[in-house]
Amino acid sequence: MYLGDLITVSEACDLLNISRTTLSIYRKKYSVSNIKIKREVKFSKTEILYKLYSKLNLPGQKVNLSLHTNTEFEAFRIDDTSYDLRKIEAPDGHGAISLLCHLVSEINKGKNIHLLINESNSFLKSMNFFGELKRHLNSNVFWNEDVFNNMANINHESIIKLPIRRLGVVGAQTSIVDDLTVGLKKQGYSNDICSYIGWAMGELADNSATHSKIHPSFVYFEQFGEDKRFLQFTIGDAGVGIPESLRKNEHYKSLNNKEAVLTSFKPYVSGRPDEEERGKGLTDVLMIAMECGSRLLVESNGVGFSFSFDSGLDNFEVVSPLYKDDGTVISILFIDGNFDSLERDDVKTYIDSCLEKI
Amino acid sequence: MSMVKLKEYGLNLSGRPLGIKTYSIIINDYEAPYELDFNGVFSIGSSFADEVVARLAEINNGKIRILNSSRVIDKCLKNVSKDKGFELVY
Repeated sequence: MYLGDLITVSEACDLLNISRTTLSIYRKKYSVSNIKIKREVKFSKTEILYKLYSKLNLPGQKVNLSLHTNTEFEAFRIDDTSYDLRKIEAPDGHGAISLLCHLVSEINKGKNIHLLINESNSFLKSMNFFGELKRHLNSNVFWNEDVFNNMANINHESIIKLPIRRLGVVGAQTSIVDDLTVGLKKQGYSNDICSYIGWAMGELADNSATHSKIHPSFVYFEQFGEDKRFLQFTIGDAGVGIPESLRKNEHYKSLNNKEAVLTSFKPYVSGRPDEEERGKGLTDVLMIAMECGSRLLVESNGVGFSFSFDSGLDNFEVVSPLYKDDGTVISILFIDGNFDSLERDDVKTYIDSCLEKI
Repeated sequence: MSMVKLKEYGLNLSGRPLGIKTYSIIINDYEAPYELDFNGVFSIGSSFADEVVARLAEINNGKIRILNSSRVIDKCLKNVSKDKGFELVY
């Protein structure tokens, strides 16, 4: 038992919404262990969740955690530090990395996190969601490992091209992006789409690793749909976020979060001093999304925007972000096909029109 | 004239730190003037290109020869040459 996993009798009763008497009955019936620390009885919260909470609370209605749905983590939150992941259905990279960054953010606040999982979380497991959590936050996050032993070994390799990986050190993204693009090319994707993906991913991974500083940033890539023509990647971090980063430059100090996130996509806009001539990466990423007829979703410090350019449409939307903490999660959905040719000035004009809409 | 095969430094060349490192290797290992071979390279990012292509072009008196680049790579290079004021020769 880890200290961070222990709860008192009173906390267990609150969690289960039952009396001490009922807890005592259940404890015996379901063989829940306890320990005494300084004469106080304590339980493992993981064991309580697994052996009692899961029986008293069936998952019920599932929550779709993806780029295309408007979901809140509250929908599967048990209490301030526990989440019922059994309720998650069909997670994609955007959902999984948003949740991962949220948990990192919560742990950074000093919380110990408990996850209630079951066999339905096999896709999250294949995504390496639990692997990255365990690797970096081992002593602050708890779930019942035994569940994995009972999980069917489903092969998700046809969907998951790049399981969740940490982008720890600036520049370390190169080998990850290289392996991915080589794999896509071998699979028969066009040179153009591989190049666009490599370019966009390289820019975002470098940004993320630079701005997340001490906090980890994560990347994930998947393919789906008929003929695997939809390619989606997500990069996220629990760092300072785009607005905070941009406002370090005197020119952008007065922008609110929405204005700051949108403005950051304009060419030559950066939190760094103007003389360094930075601020082209996000412009290029949006230009790539526009040229490829992609969908781009950006969520940073509690604001979210969706840009859809598929089928020649131009749908800009202010969205309620899934990721509401400090930091940034960006997802791009590509479709291999024909590509337009645009310039950075086109991005500037487009962002100016978006700024008028918010 | 030194022909630098950029594939040796990665297939997706992005990020300023990698650019700074690559530039330093190239100027140590090759003699100016330089030309850049993109054979096998998928992509280049603008900050990498700032640190490598623009700086090598500066040593080459404001121009640099580019070989085997794709449409997507050319797109990025064109923007960087416009920003930094050097000529791309194909």
